[in-house]
Amino acid sequence: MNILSIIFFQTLRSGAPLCITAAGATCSELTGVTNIGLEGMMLIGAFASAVISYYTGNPWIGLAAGMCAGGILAWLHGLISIRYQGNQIVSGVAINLFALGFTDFMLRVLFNQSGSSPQVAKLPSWGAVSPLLVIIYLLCIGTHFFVYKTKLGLRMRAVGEHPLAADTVGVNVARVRYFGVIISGVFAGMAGAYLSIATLSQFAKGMTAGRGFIALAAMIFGKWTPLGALGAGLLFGLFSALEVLGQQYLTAVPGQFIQMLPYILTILALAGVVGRAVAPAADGVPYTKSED
Amino acid sequence: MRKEILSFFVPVIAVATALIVCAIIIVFMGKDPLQAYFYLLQGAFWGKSAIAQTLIQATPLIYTGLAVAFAFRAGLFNIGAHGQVIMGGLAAAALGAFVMNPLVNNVLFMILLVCAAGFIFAAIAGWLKARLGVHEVISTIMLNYVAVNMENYMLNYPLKEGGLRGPSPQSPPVMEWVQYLNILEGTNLNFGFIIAIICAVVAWFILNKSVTGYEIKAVGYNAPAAENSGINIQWRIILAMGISGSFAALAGAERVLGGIGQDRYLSGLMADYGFDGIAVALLGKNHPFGVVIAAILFGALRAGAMRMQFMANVPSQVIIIVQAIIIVLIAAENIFRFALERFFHEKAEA
Amino acid sequence: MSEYMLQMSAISKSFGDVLANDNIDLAVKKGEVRAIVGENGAGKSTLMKILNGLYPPDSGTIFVNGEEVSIATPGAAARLGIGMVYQHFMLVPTLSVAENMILGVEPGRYGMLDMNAARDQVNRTSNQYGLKIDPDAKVSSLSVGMQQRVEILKILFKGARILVFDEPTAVLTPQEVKELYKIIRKLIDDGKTILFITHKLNEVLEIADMITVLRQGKYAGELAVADATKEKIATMMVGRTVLFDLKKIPVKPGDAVLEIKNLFVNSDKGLPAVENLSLSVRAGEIVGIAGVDGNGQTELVEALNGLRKIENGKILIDGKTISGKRPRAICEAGISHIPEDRHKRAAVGQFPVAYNLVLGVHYSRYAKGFRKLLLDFAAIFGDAEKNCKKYDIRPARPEKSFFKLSGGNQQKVVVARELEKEHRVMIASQPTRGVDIGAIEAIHNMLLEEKAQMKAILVVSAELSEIMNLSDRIAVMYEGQIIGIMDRKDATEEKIGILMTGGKLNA
Repeated sequence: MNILSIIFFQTLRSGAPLCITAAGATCSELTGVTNIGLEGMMLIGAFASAVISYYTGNPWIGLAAGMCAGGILAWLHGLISIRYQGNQIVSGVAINLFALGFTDFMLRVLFNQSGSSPQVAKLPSWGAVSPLLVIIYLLCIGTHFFVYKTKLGLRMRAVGEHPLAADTVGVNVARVRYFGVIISGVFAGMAGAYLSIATLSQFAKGMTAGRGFIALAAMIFGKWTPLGALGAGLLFGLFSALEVLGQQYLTAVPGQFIQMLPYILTILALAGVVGRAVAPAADGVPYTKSED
Repeated sequence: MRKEILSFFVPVIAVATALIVCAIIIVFMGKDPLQAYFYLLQGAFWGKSAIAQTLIQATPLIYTGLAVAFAFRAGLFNIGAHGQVIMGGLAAAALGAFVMNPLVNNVLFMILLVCAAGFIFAAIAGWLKARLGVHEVISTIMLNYVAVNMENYMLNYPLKEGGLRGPSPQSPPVMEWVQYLNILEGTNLNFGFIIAIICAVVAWFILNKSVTGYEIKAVGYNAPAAENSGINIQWRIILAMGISGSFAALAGAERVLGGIGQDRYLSGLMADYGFDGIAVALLGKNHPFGVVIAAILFGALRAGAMRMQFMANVPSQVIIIVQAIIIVLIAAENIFRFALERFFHEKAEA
Repeated sequence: MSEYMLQMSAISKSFGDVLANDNIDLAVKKGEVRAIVGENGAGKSTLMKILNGLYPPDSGTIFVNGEEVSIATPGAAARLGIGMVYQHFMLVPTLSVAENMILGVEPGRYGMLDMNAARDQVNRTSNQYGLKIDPDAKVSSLSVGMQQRVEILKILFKGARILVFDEPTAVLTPQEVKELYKIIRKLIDDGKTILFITHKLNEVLEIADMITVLRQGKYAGELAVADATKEKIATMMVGRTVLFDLKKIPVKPGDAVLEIKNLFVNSDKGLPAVENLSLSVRAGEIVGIAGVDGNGQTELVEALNGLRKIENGKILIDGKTISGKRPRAICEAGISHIPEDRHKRAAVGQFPVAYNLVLGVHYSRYAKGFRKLLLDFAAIFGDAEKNCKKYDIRPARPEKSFFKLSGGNQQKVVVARELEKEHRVMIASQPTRGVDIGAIEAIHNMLLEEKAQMKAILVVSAELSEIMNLSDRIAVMYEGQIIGIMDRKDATEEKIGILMTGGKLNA
């Protein structure tokens, strides 16, 4: 395999969790809910899918569990952000902390280990590529069609820009927002499952390593459109691929600097694009009926 | 008037609720929550050693709590305290362990250097936000990962004890004369705790008595209005992040110089102080003195958790769940407001 | 069959402990144009939002065409044939006209969107009422008048028989207002019933048949336009006799203090917003800039205050160049500024009133100690007490949070602050927007007092009556340029209206 195809496949592999999470993040933010908690949702998805896969022996059920876990955590975030109009960033941070602590705690309780779970049943793979990877990329493209070609997609876009206008024509703003945020959690959970039972076959503490935040950066870089998120996710996947390659080939440079690479590149990408990328107008702002 | 009273009680209710929820979890595990909590309290407050443990655990949280709270007053989310703590620790180790000359390597200089390290590292995110509009949540988190890798590198190469062939990723012990003095005999409680309290006073003073604090708060509450009145919001953002980073960096210094890690920077010494600082800041309602109280509470939880795990066999990670629930409840503090309003409304109608 | 198309009986509504509507009655006949007037906070918007199903009343009943109805949601209101054109348009700027029109009632099967059907529906309605519009145009690219047209079409499309307009002329030029009157008359001919919220008493007398007056949440009376005068209506609105009278003292203007020379400023999108604008304001004179919102006034004022970059040109005070300097330096050079958006720019809501009174001079006049690093609280609160009395700011408690004050009192705080600064020039941008009649009077008199003290005053306002009342000279801005300037004695609403739309005056 020549170096280009190595890079290509590694980009697809590293990019998959980023792309699907970014697509989900886009759905959430398009409806106006900022979701910083994606890292935690991804982590809990990784954990739940590994654990259920362990107990049932069936990785597909594990995948479903991971998606549910992410969705539940997202529902909680939605509850805080939408119904109780809490500060969405604080809520997201809280969810991340909760996921970290909870997964750590449960590792001890369930397996009496701290650090990683035992080996679990893994998703089948077709050579170097997992079927989940294909599902993920199809979903990313599907998200784009959903947002721009369906009635619900139109309502999502309206609710994030001008929720009051949508409310006055009878759109249930809260319900649309719950939909958007739960989708983001389900997708993040899927990304987590990809990390734990598609590429590896176990859960390790903190294995998401910031991917949830990189996905957010991809969403911004992609200008809040699903296809943009897909493209940006692949770009950041490329950064990750470069890291893997660098570890192998650039042995003169200390590994730690290569590991920093994706994070620094993400900052640079954001620095270059912000200003020209405009978030949905009502993003991060709780919706209340005005009282004048 | 009701809103103010409520505001004060929310942290208390949040802590109580979190403890109740965790008690339920402990019951599910088949253990006795009352027994567990007894050992928790014992480990936190019973005797000189316990109190010292509590305050030792609290100290870095005071620093990072102040860091997050101070940035929050400027309207900024400093999620990067973890990275700033690391930078402070590395600076302390670099100066403290390798520079022989006491004219350069002394406590005063040390504090200045550490503060500078934290200031600059945080100010990067501040500058990115002020000049380029990059959201500080993402940039500070990215910088955290950069810092973690930097720590890994430094402790394995330039700062490594014994050089490249040394036994483990850690720095050599820092010079004796620059170590923080012990303030409670037989324990590791050191002068860093006092400095932390001083920092809280300094933070309070800046925010409430100075022109700079007035301007930072104006920027945090309403940046366009601040800009309109002539305040240079870009500089204030960078300054606020910088000061915030300095507070966090001092936490790293205390861990290295205070004898916790055998007077050296051990790998993993900085644990999760950065993220816990967020919890502390929220619980302390972003007020410097509230932060101190919240930090001591969390310190108590940690100090007690060890004993609880030892005596009642409840994993100490339960504490992390307590923390998370507290934050979730504070984020959703409106829950309490809604609930109370409905309660009073129903009473009125009855 | 009732003679009334719409009846609202004993409607009450509170928000927390604010009683917005207190036992209000309203009965409107079919084919009538009913104006609903009242000061800010009188409850007009709340009443209409209840009618439109945004929230339910706490008590009271509503009858449509004689039948009692319950309007739980905007959808229910639409089904009853009630439609509202809001003051701040309920249009999503990033979507197209068609997308906005069908939002909530989208055509299509299995959840898919059928945009072709949507376009057809838009065109059909547009032709039916003779209101032309391009269904694919992005709303953000349309003029304000056209956006309002989309709003009207939107509710006609859903079958509205009762149309409610909330402050419809606030953002229109005089010519566009006349167009709107034509549309309203045609709708009446088509058998619609129209309700019209406004605070512009001139318009009420021109277009309405009947007037309902609300005051502080209560029904304050009703009269036919045939029997009404501005004074009568205003008195009912305020509860005391109101005379439309300002204390004008003739002042002889001095030399030019503020000079703007060939100014070029860009908008946020990088397009030219102000083009080659030159203007000078003399000491002891008020120059009013009239014009529809969006013709560069906002950018001009921002550039004058150093909040926006100047591409080309110069601004001078007393001969000294200030263009290109930062806001603080410009303030120190002697410019005071009342911002157009009180909530966004003028004050920090969470700060106490006293803090807001010193915002902008906090670092100089109210700082003490080593290198002026500390705040002088004695001076801050001491002066705040004095100023609350001097400017009639109620309640006179300087430690109270700014956002707890009413709109009018908030504006008085802002005006007080700017007047108390040492300045030669006062720039007042929409100085009485959202302020009730009593406070408007007070603020106008404060500006006239400034003029008597030989300050140079620039007033930018979309309220033509305000410009006409205050100015010595009137300049009209259109598409970033001053398209005409005249002395007050030569100015008429007609002439200014023509200039506001870019037309030319005959010699």
